[in-house]
Amino acid sequence: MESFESRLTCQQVQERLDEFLDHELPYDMSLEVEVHCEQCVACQEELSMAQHARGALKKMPMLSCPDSVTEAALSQVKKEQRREQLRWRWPAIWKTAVCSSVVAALFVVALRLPGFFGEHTQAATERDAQIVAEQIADAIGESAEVLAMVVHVTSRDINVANSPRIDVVADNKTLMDSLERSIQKLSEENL
Amino acid sequence: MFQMDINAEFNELANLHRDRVFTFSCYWLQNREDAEDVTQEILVRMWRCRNAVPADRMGVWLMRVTRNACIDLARRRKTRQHLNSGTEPDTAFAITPDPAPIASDALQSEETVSCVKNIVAQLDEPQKSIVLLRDVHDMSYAEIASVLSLTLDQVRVYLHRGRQKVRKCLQERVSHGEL
Repeated sequence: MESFESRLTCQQVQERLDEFLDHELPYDMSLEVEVHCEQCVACQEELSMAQHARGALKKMPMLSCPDSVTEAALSQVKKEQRREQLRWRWPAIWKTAVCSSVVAALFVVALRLPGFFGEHTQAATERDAQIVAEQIADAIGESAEVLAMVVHVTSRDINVANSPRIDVVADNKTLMDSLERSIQKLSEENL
Repeated sequence: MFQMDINAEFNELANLHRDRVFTFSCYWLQNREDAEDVTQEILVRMWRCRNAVPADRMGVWLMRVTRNACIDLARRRKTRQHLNSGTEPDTAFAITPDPAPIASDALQSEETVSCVKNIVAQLDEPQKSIVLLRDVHDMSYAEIASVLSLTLDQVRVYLHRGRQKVRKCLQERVSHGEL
């Protein structure tokens, strides 16, 4: 130690005094600062002042957090967790509510429709029969007079077929027989 | 059962860190009520992030978010003051160019410690945070660098400057007979 010569300038030493006091300097550098301060009065004074100031800073105590703060934080955490749980439950609640509302609304709308309890079936089949009749009339090349009878027959029998599609009507033997009879009868009358 | 679990778990976690958070914010903000608000906010955030932050990084993470919360609060407070007074708040930090030497016994008194608290509270950022983290919280330079996202060299320089200001302010007060 006695033969050790510090190569640092006073400014370099004074810049490193805090690190020296905090034991954050590498060993060699720490030794250089120590030796320099032993030999230099100005740096020794600086070191002494730095030590005193650091001592005062180190005397600032750790403070104790009041329990009320922890309690308030815990209460907030619990509130947030309850909100979070509700947030996860809401989608199921919402889905049920929305589905129920839609079903209820559809039911109300359906109730208000004319012929909800049967009349509309007749109206629908009349329309369907018209379509089928036109298609049949086109297919068999009959006149418009025949069409009227066809409409009448199909509107009655379409309930059996339950479809406005001609291929379904054609597959229905009862309906086709009925159609043929109607056309034949009409033809005889015309003759 | 669930309530008991949450109480125990929260208190265990809070007890580990609450004093550090409270101390930092108290010294940083120089206002106990504000420090309590910040601590409460940080404890709630700590709970929210408890699974995302590794246990060994929790201390560093907490100090970072605490500092950020203090800065935010101070900014809001500054704006409030500015709006109330209609003038810019005075943030100047007076340093005597040629200070007198400090008497050792004066520095050790309670009065000096109280004075140091005030001086530290008036330091600029990041010097204030660095001085607090080093001298009150005993964090290493590497940990401080991690908290503040600075390099080790920056921490060394800022700490040196911060302590130098504290030293000079103390010398100034001693020379004015305030200590």
